[in-house]
Amino acid sequence: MTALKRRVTSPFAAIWVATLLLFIVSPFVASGSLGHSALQGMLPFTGILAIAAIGQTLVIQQGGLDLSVPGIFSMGAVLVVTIPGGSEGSLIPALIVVAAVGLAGGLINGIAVTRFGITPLVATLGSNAIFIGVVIQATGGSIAFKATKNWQEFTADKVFGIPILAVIALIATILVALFISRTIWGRRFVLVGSSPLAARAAGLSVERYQVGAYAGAGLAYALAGALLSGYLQSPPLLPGNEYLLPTIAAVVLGGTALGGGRGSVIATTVGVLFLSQLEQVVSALGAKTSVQYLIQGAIIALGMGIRNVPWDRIRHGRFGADDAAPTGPATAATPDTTSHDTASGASRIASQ
Amino acid sequence: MSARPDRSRVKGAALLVLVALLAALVLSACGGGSSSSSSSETTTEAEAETETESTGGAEEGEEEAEGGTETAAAGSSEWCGEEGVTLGIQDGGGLNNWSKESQEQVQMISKECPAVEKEIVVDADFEPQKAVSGIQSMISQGANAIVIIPDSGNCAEVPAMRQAMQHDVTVVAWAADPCGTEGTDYTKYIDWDTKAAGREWAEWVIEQMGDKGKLLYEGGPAGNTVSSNAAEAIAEVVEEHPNVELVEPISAEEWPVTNWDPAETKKLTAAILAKHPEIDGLINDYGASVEAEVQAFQAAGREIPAVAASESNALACTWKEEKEKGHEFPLMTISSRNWLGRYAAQYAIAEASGGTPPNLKNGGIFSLGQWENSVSGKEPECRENESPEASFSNEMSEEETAKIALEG
Repeated sequence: MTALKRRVTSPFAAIWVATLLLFIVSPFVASGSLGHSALQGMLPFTGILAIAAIGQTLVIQQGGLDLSVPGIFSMGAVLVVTIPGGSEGSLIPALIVVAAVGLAGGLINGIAVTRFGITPLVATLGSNAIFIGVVIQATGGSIAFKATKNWQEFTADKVFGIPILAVIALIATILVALFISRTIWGRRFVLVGSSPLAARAAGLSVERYQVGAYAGAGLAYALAGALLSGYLQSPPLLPGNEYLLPTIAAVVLGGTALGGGRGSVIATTVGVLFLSQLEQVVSALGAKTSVQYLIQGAIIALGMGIRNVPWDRIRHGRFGADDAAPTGPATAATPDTTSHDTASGASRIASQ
Repeated sequence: MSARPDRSRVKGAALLVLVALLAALVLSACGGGSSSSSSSETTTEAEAETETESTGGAEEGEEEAEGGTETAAAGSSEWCGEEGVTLGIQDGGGLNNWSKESQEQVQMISKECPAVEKEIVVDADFEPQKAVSGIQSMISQGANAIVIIPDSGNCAEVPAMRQAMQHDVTVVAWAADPCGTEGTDYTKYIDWDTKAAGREWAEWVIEQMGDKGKLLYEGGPAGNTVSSNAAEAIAEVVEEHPNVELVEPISAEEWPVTNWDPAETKKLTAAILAKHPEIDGLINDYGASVEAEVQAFQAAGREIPAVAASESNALACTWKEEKEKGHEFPLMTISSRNWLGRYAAQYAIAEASGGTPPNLKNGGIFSLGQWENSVSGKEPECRENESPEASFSNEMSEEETAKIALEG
């Protein structure tokens, strides 16, 4: 019973409820928005955004923020097209280079943040400009090739009728979630994110885990970019520009704390599904572009705002004088609690 | 972060530099290869002549001469005067193939005139502030002629262009409505007639639809004048045909927005397809977008209807592939019009160098007519080995473009 209660009141439960509600309401609000054709159109993009958002979750869970999504994503998208230059045989080497460049880009971010102590916001903003500059310089302003035929076919493929991009995202989400929850490195990763001080006291190399988060994120963005290239066949020069804010929105909607520590890649993926379906419904409504943006913005703001309402205190009528603490109510309390819990368990995890 | 031994800091720095260098190296080695300048601001003098790789292909071999002066002398004509010209070339955008081809067309002309001593190239990346500062920096660097695509934002360049005019700089705007007044805010405006293009597309598609059925138009970012004018003209034509219906309502203010981005176009089209089981004709004002739109039809397993759009190599290749599979769809395109930059450059250089400006038809606003027509005209051309976004109308000869643009 306690376990069930904990699950229901978990910060990650809200996005499940919201997404479920959205899917229930969709066919009534905009007919056809849940039809076969609509889902087939939406799922590939959902998959790509989900893969990129997994990376952002890892970084935010470590108390960071990654603004280099557009740069690394675009590098992945461009490389997978320009290296093979249309020759199918060179696809595998191209994918290896994409992965290596993604990891390298993430490493640069990680080292800049941990070794040089640059604020994540500034470090990744700067590196993003460098990556975008490299893309423009290397391509000369336009991409001369289409994705190879086998890559186009792979990304447009379906597994039991489900677009493969969505399947890949699902598998990636499950693997990363299992890694974090079931392996010793994963548990330590969570500990480092919750309380670097406690982790350091327990003898963990905090920097290694933080750099690892950025490197993993870089890999995720680059692969997401490469997948988009295949799906679009001829990608634009900087396709990553459209992926920065949605990744952050999905992470926050999912319930991962912006300050680090609490995080769930599964909830982030559900957040991505929520955002994609919302876009689908709003665009199927046929409303004016301005109205579409307004509706989308309002729902996201509402989604994030509701989480911060101190429901418990309202329910118990305690929302009054004694709660007039200077810091925000529920949200501020959560990370603290988490850090205490994890700090006390730090030595146990570290010594395992 | 906490204090660490110096050695590890040095190791970290070395690693950082190494990784950065590796990433840059890999990308540079694998890139498409062109060396054209992009983003922010670049000053090119003699090096403009060394730019040899071009996606257009027409001038291949012809400009690889040692210094460029030979070609220049050979190509110079009435529009190229004697007085020295510092030519500013600005694009409100600059980071896509369309912008790249536009810049190449302008530079092709500037190389032909020995009076052009220096080129200053600015790409504003769709940032109005960058566009304004770009013009101001050109003025301060002594530019006496500016050729500009003023599309960084909604009429954002007007004050800066006026400032340039006050400094006796010739300002020729092209390919996007400059919004101001000729003579005060700019010297000349050269462009295609977007309303005529809208009518051309709509009339042709409706004819292919057999004068009945449902028509879908998708346009660029909200508020842009190209899509606004085209949408208005298409809506007018549709009203003249009572059996034709628009899938989504369009007007000068509103249309389904693709943002000229393939990913957004594919998503938008998928959503529209889910709502409408019947669509008989498509109009799209950007080549790369229409390619994504067609892909959405293919992904949904729907037959591709009649398509009218701006030209694009990728679109022509899809048309060819479908034809080979026995699913040919009617396709008509209008030129992507980068070649209008040639006349913009000639006009600006002529005014600044004391030459005679070209005698343009219709005050400089041209009705381009059809470029490709799979039903009765020039067959769509696919070149597998060239950029998917390449526009072959830019290879038109001087005589061919003159027929469209010049009097007499």
